Amino acid sequence: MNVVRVAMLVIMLLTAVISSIAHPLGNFSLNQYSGIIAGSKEIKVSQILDMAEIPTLQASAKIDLDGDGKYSEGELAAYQRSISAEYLAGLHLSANGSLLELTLLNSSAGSSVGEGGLPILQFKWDLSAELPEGSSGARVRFENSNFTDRVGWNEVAVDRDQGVTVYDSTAFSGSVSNELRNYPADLIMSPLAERSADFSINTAAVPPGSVPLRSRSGAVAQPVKRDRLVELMSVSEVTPAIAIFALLIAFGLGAVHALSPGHGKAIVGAYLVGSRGTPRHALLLGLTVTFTHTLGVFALGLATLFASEYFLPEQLMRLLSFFSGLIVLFIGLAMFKRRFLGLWDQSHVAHSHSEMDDAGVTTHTHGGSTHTHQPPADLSFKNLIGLGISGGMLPCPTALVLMLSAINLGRIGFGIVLTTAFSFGLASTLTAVGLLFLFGGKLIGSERFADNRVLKAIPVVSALVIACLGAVICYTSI
Amino acid sequence: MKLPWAAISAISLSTLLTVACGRAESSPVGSDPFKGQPVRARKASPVIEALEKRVERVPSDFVAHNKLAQEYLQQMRETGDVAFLELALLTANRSLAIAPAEQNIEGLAVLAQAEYSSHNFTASRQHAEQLLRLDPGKGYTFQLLGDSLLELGEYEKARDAFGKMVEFGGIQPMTKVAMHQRLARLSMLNGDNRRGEQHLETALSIAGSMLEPPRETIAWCRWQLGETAFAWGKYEKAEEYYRQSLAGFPGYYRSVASLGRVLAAKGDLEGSIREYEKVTAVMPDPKYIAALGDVYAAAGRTDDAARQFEIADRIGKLSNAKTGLYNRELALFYADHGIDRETAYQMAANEYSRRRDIYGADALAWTALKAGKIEEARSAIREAMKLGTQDPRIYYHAGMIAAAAGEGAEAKSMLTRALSISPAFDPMQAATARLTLRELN
Repeated sequence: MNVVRVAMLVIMLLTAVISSIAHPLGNFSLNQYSGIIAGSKEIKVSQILDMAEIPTLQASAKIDLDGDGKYSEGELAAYQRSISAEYLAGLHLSANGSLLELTLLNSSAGSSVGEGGLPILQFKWDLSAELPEGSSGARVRFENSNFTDRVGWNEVAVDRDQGVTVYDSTAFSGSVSNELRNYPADLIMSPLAERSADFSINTAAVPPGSVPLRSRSGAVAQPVKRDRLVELMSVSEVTPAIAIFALLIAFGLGAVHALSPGHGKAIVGAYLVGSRGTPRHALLLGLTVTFTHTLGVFALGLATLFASEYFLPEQLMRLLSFFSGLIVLFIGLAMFKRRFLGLWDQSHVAHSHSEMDDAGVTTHTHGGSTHTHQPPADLSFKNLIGLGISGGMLPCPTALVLMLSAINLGRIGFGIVLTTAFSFGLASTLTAVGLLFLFGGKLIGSERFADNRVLKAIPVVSALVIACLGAVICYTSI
Repeated sequence: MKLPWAAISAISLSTLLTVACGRAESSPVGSDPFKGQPVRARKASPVIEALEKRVERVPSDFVAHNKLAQEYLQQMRETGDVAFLELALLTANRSLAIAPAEQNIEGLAVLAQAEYSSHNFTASRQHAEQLLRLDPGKGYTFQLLGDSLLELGEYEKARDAFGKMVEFGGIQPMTKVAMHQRLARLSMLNGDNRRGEQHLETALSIAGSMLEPPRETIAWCRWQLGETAFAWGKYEKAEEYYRQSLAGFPGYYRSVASLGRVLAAKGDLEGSIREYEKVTAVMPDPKYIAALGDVYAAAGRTDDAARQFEIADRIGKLSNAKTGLYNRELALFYADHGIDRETAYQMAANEYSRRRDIYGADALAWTALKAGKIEEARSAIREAMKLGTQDPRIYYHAGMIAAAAGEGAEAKSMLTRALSISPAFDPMQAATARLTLRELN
């Protein structure tokens, strides 16, 4: 079930966000992650320093300069600046033995609440080093010599851009801890102690006799998939041109994203076909989805950030999923009841046309034929909106990540605008799908088949399908 | 007769199985991701890395679990990182879930050790007693039993257990080292520091003459010799031991901290601060952080001192909520600095109800005094002194309690004793001792 898969994804993502708060390695730990991405012209290093409760406490006097017991954004940034020079000097990158200069592109700092209500800190530096001409086939070495005697999780991952080959690497591709957000908990496993990586790069194929870059599970590493949405977010400056461009892209991404499994396309289609809706209904449905989805992303994003002390977003997700399922189930059952009875009435007595619904679907005749479109008595605004809400209630992980990274980057406004554009994109696809179903349905529903009993049963079956889908969503959420 | 056979057959069967599985699982040619690449440990040690892979691949291999738990314990001893202690406990428990103690004596032994290290002495004792029944007549079982008995304050029984440990003995050099370490501890508790030193020196020389001298064991022996010298006020000698310990095992956290303490005792506050800052940056044990605070205070850096005290307090509370590992340290820290007197007393009393060793009695006495419970302090300090342990701190506490109880002569004698054993046993408390003595005169 698609909706369920999306729900699972969201839950996984949220668990990742939440579990960054707990350090399985204890409150003493100082954890580091070095994510290296080999490109054809440059090597990017994303360096993360994650301080558990006690190191944070120990650094507290140097961070909390105004002594108010809180770490303001400015204080964190100032502290990061104060440690940057020494910390970054502890990172060494070289190609064929000659040192490459790492340039700082971007840095960010964040704090969250750890155990015992104590703050924990995370600092990130995005670095880049230009590769000299003719670096194809070069042996690259990265080393992190910071905090070598300090306990903690130290991880190095090497990945490659499109068109670049990495081979004979001493490091694996991909982060096992999701960049220090989610440490493996189930296995018996001591912390990783990876502080360096050696690997070769070229822009051709893996030379014979060499081993391609692999992930920890042993699979050959794929080029980095870029999260374009988040990339949109992290441009260094937002100019009007960039903003418009970003909006368009966000819209497009949303539209494409809706085609991926799990956006209630089946439900929308089944509903509209079954109830013989009009394009107006499809549009209304789309708008409701946009609205609910945008709202859901904000709500969950904020909940994740601020309220995680009081309840677990997983619980909220399950609750949301359950309610969304309940709405679908209720609508489905109600529709089924009416349609089933309607079918029954129709076959025995001439149905009255008084049951005009508020959507204003009128009966009309087609060229002499006395057939009347069966009044979609159940196609009410209430149902439509309910369905739209249920469709938009579970935010897409992509949008949630966008919102969270917007908050992280301190560009909340931009994030909101992009999320809305994304939601619109999403809804436009859903509407389009709904229309497609509608026109498809009209084609089938022409007079030729008017008396076909099977066709008459379609609305009833579709109501049943909707009810079943709702029940499944409810069941899986508990 | 049934048990040993069961154990042997179980172990050999599992070995066979694991060998067979290992072969069956050997990966197809060419799929080794590190073929022809330099081997590099991704974990604390290559042995840990290999064993972790092993238990992941063959989750039923309890022998590998046992070895892995041992390695984790060793990591914990070397780095002081309690995360490894938790891993050791987890791994030992998994091992016993795979094969029950009857077939898995090694698993039970490593569990008892891990429990001892996590200050769960009651469980450790129970498991040592179970080991005694399953694997009778072995020196190491008595050693494990004696260790927890000592911490639980059952000194008579501990003495007997260590007696049995010597009786059954062992020919392995490490067994002998472990034996002498225990005998040294027992001698010190009984106030015979000279014999204690002798045992430590014997342990050190046995360890040093091993084919592959165990780095951490040697560093520990030297550090312990330093502690003995320090307790007797022989600061030069103590410093020498600590420096030797660090020469053999650079950065060994116990010796860095103790070096900080001895430098403070010698009046080198700058040097002391340097060492304490070094150790607290790597191993933020509340005891060391509080000590750094004391030295800051002695050097007149009041703000820095206050900050360290606050950190020590926070860490203690945070860790206690989880493990209780620093319970006693925290109670003594409170009492030493006159904060949270009632909490400190409650903590000490609570612990003493479960674990009646002389240092527990000493902590109870000291916190009771600070909480204004003079009578309880007096009876507790008598308990603390029952073995005749020659520890300047105990004498100092006894002196302060006597002073509060109005027993001037007793107070004078105890405080004089403390200061004559070690004139600078603590940067703050030694000064208090001297001041009180002056007031009494």
